[in-house]
Amino acid sequence: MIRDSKGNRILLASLLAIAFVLLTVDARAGDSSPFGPLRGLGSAIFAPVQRTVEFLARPITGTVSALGRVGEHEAEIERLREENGELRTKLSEIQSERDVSTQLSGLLTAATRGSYRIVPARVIAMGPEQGFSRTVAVDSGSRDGIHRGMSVVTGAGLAGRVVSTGPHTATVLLIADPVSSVGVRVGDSGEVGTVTGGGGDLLRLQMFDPHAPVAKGDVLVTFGSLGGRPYVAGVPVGEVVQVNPLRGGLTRTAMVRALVDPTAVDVVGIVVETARTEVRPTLPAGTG
Amino acid sequence: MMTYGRITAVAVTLVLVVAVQLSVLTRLPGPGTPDLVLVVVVALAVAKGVRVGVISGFSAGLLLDVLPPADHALGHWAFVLCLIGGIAAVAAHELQDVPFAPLLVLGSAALLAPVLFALLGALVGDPRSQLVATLKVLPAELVYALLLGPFVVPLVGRLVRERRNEVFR
Repeated sequence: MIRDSKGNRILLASLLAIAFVLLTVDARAGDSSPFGPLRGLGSAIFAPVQRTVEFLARPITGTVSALGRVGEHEAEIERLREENGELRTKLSEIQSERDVSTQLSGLLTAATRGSYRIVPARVIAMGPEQGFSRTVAVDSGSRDGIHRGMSVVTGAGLAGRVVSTGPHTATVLLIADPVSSVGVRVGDSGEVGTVTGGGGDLLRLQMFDPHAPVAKGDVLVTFGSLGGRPYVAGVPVGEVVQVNPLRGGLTRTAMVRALVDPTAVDVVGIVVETARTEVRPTLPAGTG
Repeated sequence: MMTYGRITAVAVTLVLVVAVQLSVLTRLPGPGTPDLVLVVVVALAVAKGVRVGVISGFSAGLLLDVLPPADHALGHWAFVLCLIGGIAAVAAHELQDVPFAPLLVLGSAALLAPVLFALLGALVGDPRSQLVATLKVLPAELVYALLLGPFVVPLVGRLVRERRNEVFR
């Protein structure tokens, strides 16, 4: 079995060297990696295999999930539509509790109430846990209008954001991923912070203001960003389960339970269009 | 040396195994995920030697790095599985006369692979690498590998077997 062992050693060393070079180049380059198109190509070529395997294995994954969890039966799309309606109502309720002046409040509420356009998609693959990354592949891609940066939601709340697309698949970075960080508002007080993934369904919240009032049971919603990418505003993210004591640190931290279980995402909606297309008018300073 | 037919069979098997790993196995609940790709790579290495082990490890790893939903740096799994393939083949050769050698090699690979992955990640500055979390998941990985081994290793052996009267150890 070890004939020509010198040749084998050279082969091993060369392949390891190639892999290491690929690794360092890709790791350093990050988002502008030259291998980005390779991933899109791989996704395009192997998407049929992945989707077929997932489809064929649905009885198994479905049965195991049903054994392990309560609920989650068929007609998920219909359920998502219903919950979408409930989600919009919840969004309005949360926003109306915010402590802002009536003029700005009217502008914001009108601009963000409802009317997210959502493309439904199904999870067809998950990243391996040993790899630490919490990502899933879904079966909608650029041909369906999906682009990088779009928010991904479920009936329960925010699931993640799209980080890359192929023609018929997209890779979604879940909020549970250690690399994911979401800007959030704490429900009652409107205080601003960031939520980072911890690998499971517990997230870490960091408040910018160390004296910001955060309590167990507070619900966090997304703060939102320009154009709704990477995150649209007002989507529930999680619930605070434990506030860490302020031990002389500069920021206050808390543990948050995500509303979306990262191991159970199946049917998701990708927000392709937010309502606000009009330019928000600037207000002169001092306007109340 | 393998015939083209057998090489194709192995290539198709690797693609299917990676697809099953990402679309089925990772979605099952429970601590850790059974690493079918690792078991198949080790089985190939044990059955056919260093060259096959190294090349199939590299290819399978590269597939894992490229296919959605991979979001980590390209080459990470390629490096780890390539090295594991080589080590497994050498170990299997050295332990030829030891009973249950393939399972021993498989068990060691199941413990070694996640640790290598985490160390390599730390080396290149992957912000997600967590050695502590890896160590916690090792016992489960060992159990999964030892459960899959007795089924997968003989199947792979049958796939790549050369002569009908070759005794598969």
